Amino acid sequence: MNRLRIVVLGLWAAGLAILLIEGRYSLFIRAQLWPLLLGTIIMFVLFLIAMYVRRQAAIARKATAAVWLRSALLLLPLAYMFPAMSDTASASGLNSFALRKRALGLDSGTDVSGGAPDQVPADGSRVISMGYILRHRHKLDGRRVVTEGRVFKDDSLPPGQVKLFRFVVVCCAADAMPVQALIASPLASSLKDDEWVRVDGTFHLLNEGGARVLQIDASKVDAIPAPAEPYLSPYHF
Amino acid sequence: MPNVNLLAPSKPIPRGQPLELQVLTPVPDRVVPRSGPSPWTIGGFVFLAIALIVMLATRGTSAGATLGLSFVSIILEALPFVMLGSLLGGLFEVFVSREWVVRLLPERKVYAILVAAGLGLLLPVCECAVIPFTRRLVRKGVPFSTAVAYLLAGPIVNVLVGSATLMAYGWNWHVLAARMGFGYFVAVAVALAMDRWFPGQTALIDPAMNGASSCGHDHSHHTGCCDDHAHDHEPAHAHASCCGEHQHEHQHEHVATHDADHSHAHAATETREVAHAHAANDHAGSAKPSIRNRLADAINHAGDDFLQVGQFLVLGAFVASVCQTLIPRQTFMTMAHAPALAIAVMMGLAVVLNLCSGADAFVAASFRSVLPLSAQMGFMVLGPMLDLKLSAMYLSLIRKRAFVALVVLMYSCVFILMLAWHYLFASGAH
Repeated sequence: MNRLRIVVLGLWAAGLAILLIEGRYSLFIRAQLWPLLLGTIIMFVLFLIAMYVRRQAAIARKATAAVWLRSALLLLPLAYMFPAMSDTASASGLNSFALRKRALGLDSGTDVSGGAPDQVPADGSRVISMGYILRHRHKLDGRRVVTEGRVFKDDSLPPGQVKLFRFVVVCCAADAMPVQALIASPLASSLKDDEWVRVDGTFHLLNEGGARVLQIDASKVDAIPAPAEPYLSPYHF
Repeated sequence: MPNVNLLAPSKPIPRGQPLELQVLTPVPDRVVPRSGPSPWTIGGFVFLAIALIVMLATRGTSAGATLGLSFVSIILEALPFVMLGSLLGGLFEVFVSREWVVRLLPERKVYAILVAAGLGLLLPVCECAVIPFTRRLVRKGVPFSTAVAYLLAGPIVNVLVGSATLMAYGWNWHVLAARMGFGYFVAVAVALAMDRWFPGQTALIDPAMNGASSCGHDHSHHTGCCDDHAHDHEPAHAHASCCGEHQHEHQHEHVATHDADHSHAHAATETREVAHAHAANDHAGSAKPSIRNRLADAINHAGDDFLQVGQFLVLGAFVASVCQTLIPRQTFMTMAHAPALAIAVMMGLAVVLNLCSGADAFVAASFRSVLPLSAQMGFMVLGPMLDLKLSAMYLSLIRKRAFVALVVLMYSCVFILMLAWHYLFASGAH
């Protein structure tokens, strides 16, 4: 059991260290929460040190099936973590599949910004986040915006329209909430699902059947590489 | 020779005085197999196999990506808090005496429950950290009902969760007050009811808390023969609560608060009631460990608790991730036309989504445009008390019957309160 315990704790410490060093933790948790990850690694190391300090008091025992099971269960998240870091489907964070499960119709999503000061809306000269557009939707109505997000070609939309989306993460990907906008563009049919794009166009705030809908009539849609931080934060909206 | 009731230690027994083992009342529904893996162990391996097959079968797909990201993210978010709770519990175990805890608690149970439900203000941790810490509280002699009050209210009635709620609801203090008030009230009401239905420590898997659940457990059963005598043992046995194989006559691995070597016998019945007795001279002359060793013992206890609770966390997080991957949230909205249905549905959603109490207010607020405030409040009050991962972790602490009672009590209490609140005060609020 002791050996199994060392293996479990050691693998977790190593796995989290790799996640932290490679910066891939932002796939799973909000990027600003990296100190929590560091704290977790320190705790795992402390557990190992404490075992070493009291090693003489320990008696080696043959592990039972239950102990093997427990160790395997504890390692299961690591078995999921490494493929999620490398697979193309998940390497850019939550995708259009998650959008379909989490979005409430065409509704833009809720303004969950916390703490960000009100600023004068952009004039199209710089890229602003979809969260920023959502927050300043009234001031931006009818103005030029440049923003970035992922594409979802929703079958229910008329031709020439796609959805642009980002996820806002408070703590981790499990609580991710989508922010979405309709993109009207003649280029819409050439876009691919989950592709990252930069959209330049005129923003409109619509109300469709009670749902608050953000729409950008795009004059330009360019494919871009996935950002290092796939999710938006409500504190850095 | 004094009788020692290990379930309800009342006063310290002088060091060196021999102890007489008191036979504990068997709990009828906990018959333990003598050998072979328990159904729980077999079920655990089946679960593991399914989880691995799902991983391989969905690899590279959008659904697989959502599942993997959700599953790992729940674990990564919960880990530091489970470990923090475990560490607090370990320090509590080693450095705080049972006598001190008992002395500190108000004598009247009702007052103790009222105080415990507000402890989150002093120890602001989320629900993941509360469970391992509560395990140690119970071991230290805190009555189960009192621990339940802290367990349920702690993740709601605390400063961190309060500020997140305020932020999510645009500094609406009424929402904050309602959430804290309902959380406190429900915790107290459920704790009082649990105390009536499961008096003493009868709700616990192991009333003596000799390793709250299963394999790799820790013991703190030396009630009085020496202060704060707790030790761990690598399990030559695993308790039937989750892992089966209950073999007795084992040697313990002592890594905790005493350095003297000794062994002891277990008096075990078919019902896995385990009582321990030490020969009086077992600890005679045992030296007090150094601070370094005591710290190491505290961390070892924390490690034990983490491993113990962690397996249930993994189980619950996986089931929650599957639900998050398969069930569209829109489905819940189509079911939520009437207020009562909306409240019930949002409470169900809270159980399924498994959100941290520090984040759930933001998700609840995202339903403002479509659901009444009472339904959002039901989500925010029940979520930190009950979700899939918490359910799995509760089962590491309490018996199945008590768990069912706890769930029914929590759900019905929150539902009735929210419905009453909706019709009396908040029918138009969003």
